[in-house]
Amino acid sequence: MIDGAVVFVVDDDPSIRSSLKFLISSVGLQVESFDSVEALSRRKLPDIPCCLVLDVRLQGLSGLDFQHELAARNCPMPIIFVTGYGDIPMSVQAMKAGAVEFLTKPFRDQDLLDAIRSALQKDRSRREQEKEVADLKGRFNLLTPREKKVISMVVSGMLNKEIAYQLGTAENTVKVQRSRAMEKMQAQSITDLVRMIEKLNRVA
Amino acid sequence: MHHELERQVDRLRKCETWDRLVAAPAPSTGSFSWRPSTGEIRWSDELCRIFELDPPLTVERVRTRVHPEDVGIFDSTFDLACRTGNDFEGQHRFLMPDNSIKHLRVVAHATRDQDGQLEYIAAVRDVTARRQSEEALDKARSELARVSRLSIMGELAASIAHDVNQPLTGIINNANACLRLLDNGNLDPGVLQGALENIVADATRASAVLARIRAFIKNSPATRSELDINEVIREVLPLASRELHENQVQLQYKLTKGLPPVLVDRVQLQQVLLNLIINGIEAMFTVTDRMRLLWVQSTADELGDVLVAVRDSGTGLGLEADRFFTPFFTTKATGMGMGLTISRSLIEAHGGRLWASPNFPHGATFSFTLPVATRGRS
Repeated sequence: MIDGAVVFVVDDDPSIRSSLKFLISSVGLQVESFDSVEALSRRKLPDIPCCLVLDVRLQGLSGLDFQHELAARNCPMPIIFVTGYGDIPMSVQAMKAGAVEFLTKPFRDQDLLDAIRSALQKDRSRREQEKEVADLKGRFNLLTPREKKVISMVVSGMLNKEIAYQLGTAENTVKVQRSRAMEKMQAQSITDLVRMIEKLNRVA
Repeated sequence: MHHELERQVDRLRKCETWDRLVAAPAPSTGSFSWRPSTGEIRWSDELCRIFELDPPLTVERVRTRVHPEDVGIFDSTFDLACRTGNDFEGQHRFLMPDNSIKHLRVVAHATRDQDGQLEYIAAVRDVTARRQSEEALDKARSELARVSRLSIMGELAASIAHDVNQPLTGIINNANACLRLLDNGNLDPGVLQGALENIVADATRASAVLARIRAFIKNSPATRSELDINEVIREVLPLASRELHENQVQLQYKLTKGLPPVLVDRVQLQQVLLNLIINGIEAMFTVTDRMRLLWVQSTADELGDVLVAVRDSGTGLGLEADRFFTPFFTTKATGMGMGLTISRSLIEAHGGRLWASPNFPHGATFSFTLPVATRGRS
């Protein structure tokens, strides 16, 4: 069971919709179901791990179309597709576009629940990653321009002495700026700092 | 010699195959007789003109004219004729010395001479002109007929699959959820009741779909009429000609004359036949080490019912002959697994039976019976 997570179900067949809701909630997950992707779009998405169980063939916008729309909106919610008659090209298309799983009705309940678990896990780690980067960015923005300069030189492997020489300042000043920067970044060690800066550079 | 040939051609004209295909004595129809045992051939002058060969004609000399892509099928036609002594027909392309292509249709009727030796009497017709002028029209017409026959069945199958699958999925989900809650000692009676009500509703929905199909099949016999089974078979064979040709399947048939009429729905019977024929062709997709032969036969069974058999030299039934009639069972990558189920329902609705049996050494036979019209009406 994953706390503080929600599974969205979109299927235009009411009996499938309610049975999916029942099945997913039977393992203690929070579920919300919708009869169309348009209805889901009207719901403001919560800031907690979530995933989508989506029927491929829907009246109105199809599941595959909606997958593209979510990607275009930069909304990386993991999707598990379910379909009445899935063909191979269709499932390839869905998986290439990043679907977590492609299940043909009727599916084994364990397969669906496993897929949901891994989708939520995926969304949770993406969110953690994003949060960590956002925190780092916030901390990094607390640094003065000079401190930023100093730690970028530290990370590139330069000694205090070399930094001082290059900046035309005293070694002690560099030491102070460096430790203040470490403190603001909440870095425990130089290795820790290097890891943080790398992470920030990767996102930038 | 020509007198003898004329006499035979006369006999041949009385045969129905001849009537159908070469009845009008068109200038581009040649004829020949052939004894496989001796290789002896007699021919009409027109035949020489068609092949653009000087006499004497031999199978080997004619063979040099066959279009390279059709040599295989040409050889197998004659090989098979030698071995089985059945009527045959075929259409092959011939490459003339000036590089033009002729489409020639051969229809051969098997007879026995005074000594009981197999002898074929055959007509060859140059259908090039007809093909060129009518090819597009023919293709459109037969494609339309084929698609409408197949799609009625295909659409029915697809809609059954979907309409039954949805409620089944609902039932499975609901039941699984109950099992999980029960496992955890967490199943509230109110929740259980709701789930069971949903299961009942879904199961009722699934069985309503099946009742609809049954009604669909039952309601159709309003259009039943007394038909000659051979006529229906002949109507269907051209609908499969594209599949036969594209997959290099040799068609042979033996239609027993004078069978009593059957009381059937023409379109439904065409659907069943086409389904069996296409299945047979598809069962031979992977066959490369032997001839792909489709054999259609009409006859009367020991009870006097009309019996139709469609035999292939394909991959056979395996050990699961009965499962072929199970809904959604299929051996094909793209199949729905409904064709035989529907076919069997249609035949049974006509008071007949449809079954499968293995062939030795290869392939399968799908046979069905239909009661004759007089008994069917009582």
